[in-house]
Amino acid sequence: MKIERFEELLDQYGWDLASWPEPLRREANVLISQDAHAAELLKSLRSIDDLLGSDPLPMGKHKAIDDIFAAIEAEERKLDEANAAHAPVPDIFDQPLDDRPRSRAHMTAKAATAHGKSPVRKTYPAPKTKSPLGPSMVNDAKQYGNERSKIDLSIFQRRIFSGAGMVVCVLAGFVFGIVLTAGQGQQENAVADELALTGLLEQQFYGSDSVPSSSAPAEPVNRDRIARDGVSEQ
Amino acid sequence: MSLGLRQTVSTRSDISDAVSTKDVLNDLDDNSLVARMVDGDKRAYRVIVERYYRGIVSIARRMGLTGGDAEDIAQDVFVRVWLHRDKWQANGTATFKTWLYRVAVNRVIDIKRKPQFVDGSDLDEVPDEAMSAVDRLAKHQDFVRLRAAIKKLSDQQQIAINLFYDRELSNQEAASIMGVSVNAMESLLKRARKRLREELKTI
Repeated sequence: MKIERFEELLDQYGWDLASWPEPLRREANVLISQDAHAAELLKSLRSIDDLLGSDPLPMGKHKAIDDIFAAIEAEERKLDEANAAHAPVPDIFDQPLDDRPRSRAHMTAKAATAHGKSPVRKTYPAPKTKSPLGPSMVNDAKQYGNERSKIDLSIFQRRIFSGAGMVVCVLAGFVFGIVLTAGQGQQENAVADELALTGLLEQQFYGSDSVPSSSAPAEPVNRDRIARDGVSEQ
Repeated sequence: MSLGLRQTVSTRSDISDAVSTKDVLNDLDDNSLVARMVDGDKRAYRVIVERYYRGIVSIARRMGLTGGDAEDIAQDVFVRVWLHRDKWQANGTATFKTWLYRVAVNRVIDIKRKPQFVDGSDLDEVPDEAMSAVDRLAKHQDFVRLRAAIKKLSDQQQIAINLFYDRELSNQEAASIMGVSVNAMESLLKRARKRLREELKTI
């Protein structure tokens, strides 16, 4: 056996020749007896082997084992407390806060399932659930709905009629105004015609005395003066 | 019989019962103890802890933890195993012992990967009081040299060397802890020894 082969076998079977196969160990012993370098190598590696194999821990660690079981007790207490914190609430506190009528009791479990993350929705019935109202209440509601529709129609009709009435009144006032104005115009015209006729008659009856000469220019007729003179003279 | 005497006799009887129970438990093999442990028997688990505490601390120290850290790891491992005892399932590939060691090795690897980890393996050698001061100093120097060489190995090689030299473990058990076959473990050991020998030449 050569030193290279010896080193390879040391790596393969370990640095203690006792663990080598018997034929190889015999060859190795022959080499060690003949080669000082091989003997020195084996000696140094055996010391390392002993160092690696030495027990790094002194005996007597019962206190540490007691500490382990104390730690186990502490962990178990923690777990118990955590479990107690998440345990269901006692019966006395288990009353439902929902004081709505018990008519919702007929709801199916599927209908009562949550529809969202909100706690409000979790307790609210599904849209397809049966109505919690009784049949009599439904009929009442239908009847009330019919009545209400009638009332609505009546209000609408009344509003239509009142609007039409207002329009009629406005038109009637307008016509009345026109008629009244036309009557007043006719009266004024009649008065004017009458005054003109009266003036003409006064001129006819009283105008001869005051007829100017042909040499003097004719004085314009002052209707007011004529009337004053006529009155004063009368 | 007076009440005090009766109580004394009763207490002695309880103690003797406890001692005999512990003796019985100590005679049980791992499988029986583990079955009792899974059922919640703390006395059986205490026997398991006493059986493997030393090996767990030892492997943690071999892997580079200081004495205090190694004991903390051992405590952590045994507490976790007890709290998760219902998850243990016996099968043909792993024994409770190799499973326990694997949990410990993984825990040590986790600790060593943390940024704040300080390797104190060079500072924490337990001296042999029977040796002379010169021998102790020489051994300490060899120890420091060896640890420096081991640190230069790969993680897998370090674990393989540490498990192989643990007296509590067979090659089969060391391979099982690493999750490899015995042949793969021997191949890993061969490369580790070669590298370690080369590193020791340079240091």
